[in-house]
Amino acid sequence: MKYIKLYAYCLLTIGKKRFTILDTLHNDIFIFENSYLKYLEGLQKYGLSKILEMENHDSEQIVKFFDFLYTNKIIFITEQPDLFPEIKQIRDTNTDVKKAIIDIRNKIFDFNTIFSQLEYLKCDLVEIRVFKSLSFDVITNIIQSFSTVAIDKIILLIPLNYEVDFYCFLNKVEELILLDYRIHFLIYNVSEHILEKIESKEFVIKSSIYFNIQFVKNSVTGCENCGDIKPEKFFSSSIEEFMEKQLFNSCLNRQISIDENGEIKNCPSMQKSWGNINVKSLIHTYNSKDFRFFWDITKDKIEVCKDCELRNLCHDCRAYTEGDALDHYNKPLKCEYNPYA
Amino acid sequence: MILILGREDDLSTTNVCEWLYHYNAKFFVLNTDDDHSKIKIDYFNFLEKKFLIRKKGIEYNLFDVNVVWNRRHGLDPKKFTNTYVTLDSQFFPEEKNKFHYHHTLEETRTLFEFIHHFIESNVNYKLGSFFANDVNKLVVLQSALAFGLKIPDSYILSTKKDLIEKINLLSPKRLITKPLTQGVYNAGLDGKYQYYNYVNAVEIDFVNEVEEVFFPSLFQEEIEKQLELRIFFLEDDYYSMAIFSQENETSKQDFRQNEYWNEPLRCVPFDLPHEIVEKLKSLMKKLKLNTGSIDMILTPEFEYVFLEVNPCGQFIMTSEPCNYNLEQKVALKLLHYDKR
Ligand code: SF4
Ligand code: SF4
Repeated sequence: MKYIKLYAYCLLTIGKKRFTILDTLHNDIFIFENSYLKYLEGLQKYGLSKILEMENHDSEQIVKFFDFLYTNKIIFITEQPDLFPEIKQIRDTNTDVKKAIIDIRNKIFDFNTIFSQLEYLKCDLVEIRVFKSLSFDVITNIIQSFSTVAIDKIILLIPLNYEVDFYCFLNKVEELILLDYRIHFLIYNVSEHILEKIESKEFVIKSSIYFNIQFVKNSVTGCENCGDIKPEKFFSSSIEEFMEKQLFNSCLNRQISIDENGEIKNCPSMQKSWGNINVKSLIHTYNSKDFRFFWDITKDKIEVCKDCELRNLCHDCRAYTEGDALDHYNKPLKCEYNPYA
Repeated sequence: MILILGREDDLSTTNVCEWLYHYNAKFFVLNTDDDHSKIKIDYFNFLEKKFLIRKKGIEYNLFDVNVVWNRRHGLDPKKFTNTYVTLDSQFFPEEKNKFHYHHTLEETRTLFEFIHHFIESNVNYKLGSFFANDVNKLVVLQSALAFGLKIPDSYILSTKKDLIEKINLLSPKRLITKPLTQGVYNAGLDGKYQYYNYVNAVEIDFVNEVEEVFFPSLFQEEIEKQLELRIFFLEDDYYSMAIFSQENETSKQDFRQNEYWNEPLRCVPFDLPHEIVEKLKSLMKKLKLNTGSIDMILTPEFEYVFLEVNPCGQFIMTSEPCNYNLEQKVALKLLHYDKR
């Protein structure tokens, strides 16, 4: 007897109306109507020929479905399906900071202290979002504080400064990156005109900094620009990420932030402040149980999202949600996807 | 303190180190291929309990090492230096017969063997061993057979006559040849000796060109594969993975199957039958290996055929697709014995 089996690298998420198969090996996402779910289950339970007997009026559809799965290496055929267990979820016990967001508008914080606290928390990534033009001296100072700590990566989100010549600006950025390749820049507010010239290579970005710098058209006015959820832009994730999204909040897990006023928060857009950086330490805040409350808000606890077939791909947002802001279990406000439609 | 004898480009080492860092472990890494100027042996004395090694300006005392992980093949005498000049490149560049070069290399080799011996005899726990990392393939096959594992029919042949006889005997199954170790010359072709470090199928064209008598070489029947299996052992814990290396019949029409697309290997977790596991465990014990990767084949008839054991194989390629998180498990194992 031959059985059909899903390759373990294909991960299933079932929603109210549709289900997704995330193929983590080939980096594909497949979405099917739930009417196919019973075929998938049937194929696994009874094999192809038996299911064709049972559902004879749908046979053409089933064969097509089967062919699709087979040619795309989503399923395989075996005589001993029990030899192939599913991938197990493991609850990661690592609680080191994965990402720290620091917003800057008018106040410049004491970065020596901040970075050394983040280093203590074994932070992987620092993202500094600057909402107005800063002088390069200030940026250089921030980077100087960063240079002595063991943090893997820093991303500086800064606006393009139109007061200086583009090449001048670029040279400054390059100088900083060459000091330390952990430094990355995301330059926003870049005009269409300049973007075109970069695209056409009229403006030359040196290869030495090519991977550390990125230009975008968008303007960024403040933390309120965050939180958009666009399912058409979801991309596939690794097995590890998929598992993490099932076990923890996809956005806030292992994240800590400082908003533009110095308030320590889970994310700068959230209302709840855990105290100001002038008086409280990031370490103390991060290690408190209350702070970690949001980490456990998984998609299956969130209204609507719990029925969405994209929930294990979606990055979620807990700052902007529908309905009452104090109810932490509502659907993200900036998502227009309807899993019931 | 934990000492890792690794290799710079080894991802498994890097990932384990990240976990050790996470756990605030005290550890340091000496890589086989560390830049020659980085590792220096400063001082050794039994009575003072000092064995000082310096890496990138930081001094470590090998007497403080409680746990060692022999990830790869240990330190490389050829890369060793105390004067920022490697033996390999510049010590005696002019010398024709390289007499002093070889002499110094021998000295260094002896010193390095002592270092490994010293480390391993001084620690509470060692994962992998410098002295067990080069397993003898034939000894392994012999032991595997003794524990009741199926192995491919294996021959050591040295004449063309025998080779042809075996090929005819096994037909339609093919014969393959393997190096006995890395770095041994294999079946002679065209009067020249050829070197193989991977598995080769022995085609009849090839046999026709072989000398009447050649260097004794290992030949095995080729086993038909349903799946390839890889089993990583960490003490008594084991983690198995199946690799679908055979093509789907229908995949020929698959748009991905063109020459530009490198089809990734399909790897999934696998449940190894208990009985096979027990045999493998006994084998590992017998070979005195507390870690390593085992290669097997599952035949279309569901027979489990043992191929070989690799004491220091990469495990990231098992860990990642199966979500086994082996890097953390290895780190915890090292840490556990360091803390005792
Ligand atoms: S926010 Fe919720 S409904 Fe929108 S895509 Fe994500 S999981 Fe689906
Ligand atoms: S919670 Fe929303 S606003 Fe805050 S970081 Fe996440 S996506 Fe952005």
